[in-house]
Amino acid sequence: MTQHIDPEDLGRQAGRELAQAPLTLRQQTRLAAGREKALAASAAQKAPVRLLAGLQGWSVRHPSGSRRLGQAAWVAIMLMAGLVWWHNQPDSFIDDDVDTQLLADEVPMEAWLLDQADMTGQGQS
Amino acid sequence: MTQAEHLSQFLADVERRAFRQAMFAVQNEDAALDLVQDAMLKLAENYADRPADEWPMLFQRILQNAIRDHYRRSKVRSMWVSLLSALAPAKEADEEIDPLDTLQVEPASEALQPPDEQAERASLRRAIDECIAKLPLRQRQAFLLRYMEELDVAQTAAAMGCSEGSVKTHCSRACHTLAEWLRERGVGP
Repeated sequence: MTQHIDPEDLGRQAGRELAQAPLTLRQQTRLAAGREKALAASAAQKAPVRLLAGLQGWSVRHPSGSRRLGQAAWVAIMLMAGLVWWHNQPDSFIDDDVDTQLLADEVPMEAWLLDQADMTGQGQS
Repeated sequence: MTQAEHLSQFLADVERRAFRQAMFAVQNEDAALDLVQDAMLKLAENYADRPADEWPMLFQRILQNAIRDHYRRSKVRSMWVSLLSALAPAKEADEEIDPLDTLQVEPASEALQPPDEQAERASLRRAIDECIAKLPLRQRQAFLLRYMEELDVAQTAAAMGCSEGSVKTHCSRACHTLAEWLRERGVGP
């Protein structure tokens, strides 16, 4: 070796020598097994990931679908609002005592409905 | 070529150099093979869908982190081993030697070279191996990433988590040490 060798060149040559150093059969076998294992793990993970990746950008690929999604969201909001409004109406309340009796099966359902109908009839007449 | 085939090709290309790096770092063949396998597994599990040109840097980061974790674990383990060594039974010396462990598989081109060239090359490699193994950790890391993995200074700095100036300094020192080492032994590339 000369005194004027470029350290960078020496580094590169040494690096190449190191990279080309032979492996034993056992090392080759172990590395190949590791590679196969890694590839198998990647393939096993891909299915759910691909499904999620498929959902990403769906609205971009389907602009009409995206519009319909917006309309469906509005309908859902209106339905929810209607449900809340109906739930807060006093007519829809069931008397707590009757509710308890119904849950305890003390009053037959038919008898309760008959009573309700009678009460409604009296109210009208 | 599918993404899986690309990944397989990439891992096949990188595994030998990765093993050399890990081997220099941990000085234990089984541990080095485990580290490379773990790094390949992590890359395949977490980054297989990333563009292929990002894989080399990602793989280097994963491997460097795995080596660092191994150092941490072995530090803790050695502390416990030293504490408990008095209780452990003496190790048997008659361990079996597997001939496959020492069988050298020469690449075809090298096997065709004259024996004196092969011997010269083997002695050069041995000298380089010895010198690199004796380098300080950061110098060795910078040298291997820069000259064996052929990363540029910026990539090496990113893989090591340091500045580009530090990489240049480490590489320069490592190269000068190597040149001196080879000169003393009368071998050269």
